[in-house]
Amino acid sequence: MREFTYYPGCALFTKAKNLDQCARMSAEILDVRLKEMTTWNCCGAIFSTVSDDLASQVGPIRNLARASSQGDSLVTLCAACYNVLKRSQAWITKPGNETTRDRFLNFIEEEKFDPNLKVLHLLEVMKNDIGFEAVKTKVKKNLKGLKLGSYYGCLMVRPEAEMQFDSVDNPMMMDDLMAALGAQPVYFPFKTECCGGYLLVNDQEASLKCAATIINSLNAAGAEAVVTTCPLCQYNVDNQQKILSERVAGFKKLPVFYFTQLLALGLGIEGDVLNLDGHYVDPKPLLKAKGLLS
Amino acid sequence: MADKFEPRITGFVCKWCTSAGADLAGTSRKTYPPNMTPIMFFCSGRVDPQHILHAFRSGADGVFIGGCHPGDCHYQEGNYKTMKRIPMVKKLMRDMGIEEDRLRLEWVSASEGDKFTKVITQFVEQIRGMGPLKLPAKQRKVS
Amino acid sequence: MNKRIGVVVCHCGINIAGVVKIPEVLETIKTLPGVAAVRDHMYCCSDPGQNMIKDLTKSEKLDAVVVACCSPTLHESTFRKAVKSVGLNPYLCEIANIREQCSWVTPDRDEATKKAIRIIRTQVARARWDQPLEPIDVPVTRRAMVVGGGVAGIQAALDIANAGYEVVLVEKDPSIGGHMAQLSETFPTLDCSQCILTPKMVEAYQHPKIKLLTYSEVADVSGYVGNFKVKVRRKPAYIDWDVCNGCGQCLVKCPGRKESEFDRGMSKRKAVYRPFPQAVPNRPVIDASICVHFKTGRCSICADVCPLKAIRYDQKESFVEESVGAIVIATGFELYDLKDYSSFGVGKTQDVIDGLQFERILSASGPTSGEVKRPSDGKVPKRVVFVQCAGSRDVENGKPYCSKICCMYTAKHAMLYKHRVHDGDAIVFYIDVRTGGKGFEEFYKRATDEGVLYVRGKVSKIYRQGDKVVVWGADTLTGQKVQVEADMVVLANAMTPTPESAELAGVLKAQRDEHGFFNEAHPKLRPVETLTAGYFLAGAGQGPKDIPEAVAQASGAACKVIGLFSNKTLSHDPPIAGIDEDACSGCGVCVDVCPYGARELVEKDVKGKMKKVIKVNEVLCECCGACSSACPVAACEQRNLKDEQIQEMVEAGLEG
Repeated sequence: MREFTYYPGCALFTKAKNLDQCARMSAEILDVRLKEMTTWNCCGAIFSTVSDDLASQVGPIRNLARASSQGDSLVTLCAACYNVLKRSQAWITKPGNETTRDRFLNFIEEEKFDPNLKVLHLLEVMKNDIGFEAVKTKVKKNLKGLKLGSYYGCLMVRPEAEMQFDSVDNPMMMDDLMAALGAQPVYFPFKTECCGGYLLVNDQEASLKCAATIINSLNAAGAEAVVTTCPLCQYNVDNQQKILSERVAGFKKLPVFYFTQLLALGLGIEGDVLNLDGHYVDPKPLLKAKGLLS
Repeated sequence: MADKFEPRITGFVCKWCTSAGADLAGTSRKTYPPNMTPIMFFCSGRVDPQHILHAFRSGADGVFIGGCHPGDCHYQEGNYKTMKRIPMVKKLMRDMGIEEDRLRLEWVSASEGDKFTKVITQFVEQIRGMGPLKLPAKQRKVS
Repeated sequence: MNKRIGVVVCHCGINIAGVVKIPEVLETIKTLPGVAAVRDHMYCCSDPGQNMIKDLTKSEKLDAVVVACCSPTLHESTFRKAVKSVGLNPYLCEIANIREQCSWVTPDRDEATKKAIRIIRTQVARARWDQPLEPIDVPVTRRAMVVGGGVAGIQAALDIANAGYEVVLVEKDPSIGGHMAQLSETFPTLDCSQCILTPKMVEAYQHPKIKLLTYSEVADVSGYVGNFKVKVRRKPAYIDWDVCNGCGQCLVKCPGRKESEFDRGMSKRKAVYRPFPQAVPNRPVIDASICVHFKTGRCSICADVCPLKAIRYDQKESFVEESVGAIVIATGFELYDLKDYSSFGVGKTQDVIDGLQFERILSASGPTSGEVKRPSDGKVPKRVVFVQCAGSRDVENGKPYCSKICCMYTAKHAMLYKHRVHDGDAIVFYIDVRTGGKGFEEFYKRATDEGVLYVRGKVSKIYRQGDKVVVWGADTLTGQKVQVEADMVVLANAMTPTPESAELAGVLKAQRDEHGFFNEAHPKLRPVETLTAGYFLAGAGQGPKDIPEAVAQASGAACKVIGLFSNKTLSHDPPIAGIDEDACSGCGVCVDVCPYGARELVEKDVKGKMKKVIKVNEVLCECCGACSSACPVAACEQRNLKDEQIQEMVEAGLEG
């Protein structure tokens, strides 16, 4: 049983519980334990909007420092947490920032800090440490050619130089994982375009436009559903379809899954943990039609 | 008030690559410390280990050798020979009590004026940090 | 040795004198042992400067001269010629580089002065040991080889052949012509490209002094300037070109199919094929990789129908050896593969093509017979977006340099598109429009006058939406995002060296720059030579350029070759590594160490005793000095760079 230090992040304990729990259970089946950090705080996901460098970085750096004493890597699931933690790690370990780093460590009263700590997304662990071939062998419910558009959102891949996650315009990691589960990945040109999540409150019209572009493109490409990894993307792209379907006649709604939901489903996990009732666009009819749900 | 230690460095630079790179650094008006006196050979393969040791005996605190990148030697393989000789010389230096890092081999091409500048600057500072080479008087050949 | 050495220090205006304190230098150098005279001069390379050096040499009866000035690459030969003219052996004149490697890089005046003195000291030490040397005469093979049969290679071959020398023109494709043969029209005159090129191609083919080796590659090169031995690999065409008369019967019924390279993948060719109808030589080749005969043994249609029985399935690759005195490298360019530019959807999105593909569409002999039809469905596109700088001027994701020709050919493409599709929209996204040649700016203005819309901004995304190709860009002049729903997109890809040129550079041991283009000897003053004597450059293989520039450079290279051949003999540098037969122990280490095979072990009578000693072939020795540093008994001294000489130079450089 391989262990990875795991950082769930706040959203995964509230709105995105199923993203978290499906991940943990699926990991166990794949012989990996996601060991939650003994103590952690909010990653500071809104850090980019705060003008004070110290305040904005304290959150993530404290998490990184604490993770240092618990392993050589830190795995996370939420795209926002991944982006923040990885960029903070890159920033604080840049040559020349040693004094700043010591100031931080002093402030948060941590001693140990591993500059080589690897911040990983669960998808990377699935690709590099577990291997998609291994996932294939554990599939109990083949997704039977379910046409899936993999929507990564912007935070996973940008800024390119710091994130180095996958191709910026056409990443394939999630597509490949879904293919291993038996789904049929569908290419569409908006895999990493902004979903408008951050504008939900301030300028809903703008965020509706973003969500509409993505859904329309997916429909044009023939997708039956969308799979994503970011709680904000899932919420935005799923829930905004309510308004979009009211405005546009004949709007074709697409269910929006977390990749761990489908992973869990594929590995044979059933029940409340999937939280299929928590969606706005009900995925159950599609899953039933495909014989994936009794 | 002690004077700042100014390292004395002998440089063996090859005509086709490193010396041309140094010329480019000059035409680009880069600046680097003047501590290295360049001696131009046709090829870094001409550098005999005895020249290196002679330099240390004569008062050099550091020796720099610059040649073409492997595969690019104007004379086919001269730089490969240099590549093989230098580790051997470093072993000798160790046995003689001279720090290995006082000998530096770098590949600098004719278009790498920037690299030449960086490398010389860094080497001079490194030797400055290491201090003067302390060979017993009888081993030195300084007048 | 009681040599009288003269030292002349050049001011080089303020380049040296503005930093190095000349009077202090003169004072110190005056005192060095062996220095009989010191002078300084404002500009030593000028006529008065040179005359001063000549006069000093004569009046002071100097045995050697050290000129402290700029880099030896600039004026070593100038000063050596000067002293030679007054009777001093030129190899007794040494240069001390106190400009590029001293005054230009050392801002502190005192430190620069001290460094200049040290550098001069080393060269004075060198001069003390220098011996007079005579250059070695080397015969010249007055034949040239041109590698690459595009317009530059053809021009160079014609110029050299017209001067009366034989030329071997080697081309990897079955026909000469290169990319220019693929073009429809050329800017700024809109001349039909093949119409102006084919006469040159035919001239080269028919020229009595040009030996055309197409479908061939340079496999190995040995030797040196004036005396190269080149091994050329001739790929098997499986057709006897001496028998074949180009009638084309074999082409009619061949079942094999593959994307045509000449049409950039937009049409299919057969297994037995001619790259294009006007191919020179007009002979087909068989592509064994898709030939049914080679794959299954069950087809011989071409052999059966050939009236001259020219098909030779058993033909093998062969090698020819050519002796030449000079090689012109004219390997041309390829377009940058944008497969990693995923935001442009290249390869994934239909109807996003590159400039050469559009040329084939425009060409009357192309896959659409000159009608503008888009590749996916053959429809006439009513709106075409042209994207300049696709991969050029892009430090992060592409090539940092400008590819020079794209602004012009994009204007040409947009205009030609509108000439053929009168109600079509041509929209060009640009960063700048660079129109530096004769008639170029006027050509661009014509494009805008004729209704081509230029939008200043970069393109961030290209994707397919149903029937349309959507282009996201920006209009920086109005500050707005722009979205265009086009029918087709033409990208102006960056120009890069050909993939094959990397291997060729290794075989030739020719230098290339960081982008893979062949390196010229000096970017300003020696654009057609390389640092390797005997290799010359022409065309886009040296850097992005258009046809007039390629042709001009080709003629320039040809001129250099002709100049080389106009010497009775070539003079070979004399600082070779000799042999002290007395000291030589016959160990033979230097024989293996020499990369040129210039040394061999022989039995010889030395002072009455038969012993094994080294014999040196002076013509082959390239003066690298590898043997001198390998010899365990110091019997193989490099002339004017002996071990004791070096030791004294080292000591001199450490003083002060």
